[in-house]
Amino acid sequence: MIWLVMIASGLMTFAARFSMIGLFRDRELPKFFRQFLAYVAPSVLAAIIIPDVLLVAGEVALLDNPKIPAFIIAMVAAALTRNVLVTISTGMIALWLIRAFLS
Amino acid sequence: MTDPSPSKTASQEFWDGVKAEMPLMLGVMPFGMVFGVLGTEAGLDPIVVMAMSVIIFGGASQVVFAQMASAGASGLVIASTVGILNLRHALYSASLTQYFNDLPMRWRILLSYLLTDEAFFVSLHRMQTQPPSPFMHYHMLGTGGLLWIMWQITTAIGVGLGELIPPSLNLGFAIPLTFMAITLPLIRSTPALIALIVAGTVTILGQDWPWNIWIIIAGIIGMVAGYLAEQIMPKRETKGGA
Repeated sequence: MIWLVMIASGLMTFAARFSMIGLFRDRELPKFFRQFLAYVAPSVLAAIIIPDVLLVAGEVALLDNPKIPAFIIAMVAAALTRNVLVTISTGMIALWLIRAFLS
Repeated sequence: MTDPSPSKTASQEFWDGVKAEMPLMLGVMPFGMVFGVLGTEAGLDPIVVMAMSVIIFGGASQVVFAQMASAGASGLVIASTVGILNLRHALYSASLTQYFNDLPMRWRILLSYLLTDEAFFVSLHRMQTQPPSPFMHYHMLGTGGLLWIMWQITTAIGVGLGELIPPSLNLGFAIPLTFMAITLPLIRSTPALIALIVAGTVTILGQDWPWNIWIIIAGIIGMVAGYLAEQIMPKRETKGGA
């Protein structure tokens, strides 16, 4: 049963990934659609990131949520260094320190 | 960069992809381990957890799958949630297809299988900022291939170490940090910023909507907002063409 659900999920995932790469062979996408797609990254990434940061145990938590200040510190590091390694390390260390000293 | 030298070879493109993807491993490795731990804690068989990393190969959907399975959700609900969550990959697929126009089907299938968030954004950046080459698809083989191998290894580590990784490390926080590190360089214009803010707002409003449907709705509304902002705002450059 679980295997069936897993294979179905895998096939749907592949179908989404394959859809345009597979179907739009030698066909140009309409211009407005391409302009539209320029905003895939900021839109989808915002949708992935925000719940991870704001949610604590499934609820939006703005106060008493050390992930928020840690995330802001990591954003500053990202803006200053433009370096992925520095950004992730800064964010993790900031979270550990904030949790250790403030909660 | 400055010199329009002859285009890169297949092996150069491949290793460029591997190198560009490398820093993201700092976020992907904890993500894989978190999933491995989560999957076994959810009561799934270790073989199922490992197989999921091969069959689905998508971090967010695997985490959701494990959580829902442990909460006793029905197979139909799990599969539809994963389907909705991964609709965003159709948007990625649409962004990439123009660069893969001349590829034979076996390459299209392979690169589609490897099309994850982290590989997509890194390889798209290469497609958009460097001159095209006949071997540029090897770049994505590099980004996606490295990601695939590390994902399998770290899933296994998570499954194997399980309880040894203390939850107080909050390794899961590496996930949004990784995505933020990818996003920030992509926000190069006001419409992009507007797309991000609008999508973020819809995301917060939509947390209670069923089946995680907010992820695709927020994505699409954010894109519409970015597109409209681009149309409305005065153009800084009025050069014709694309």
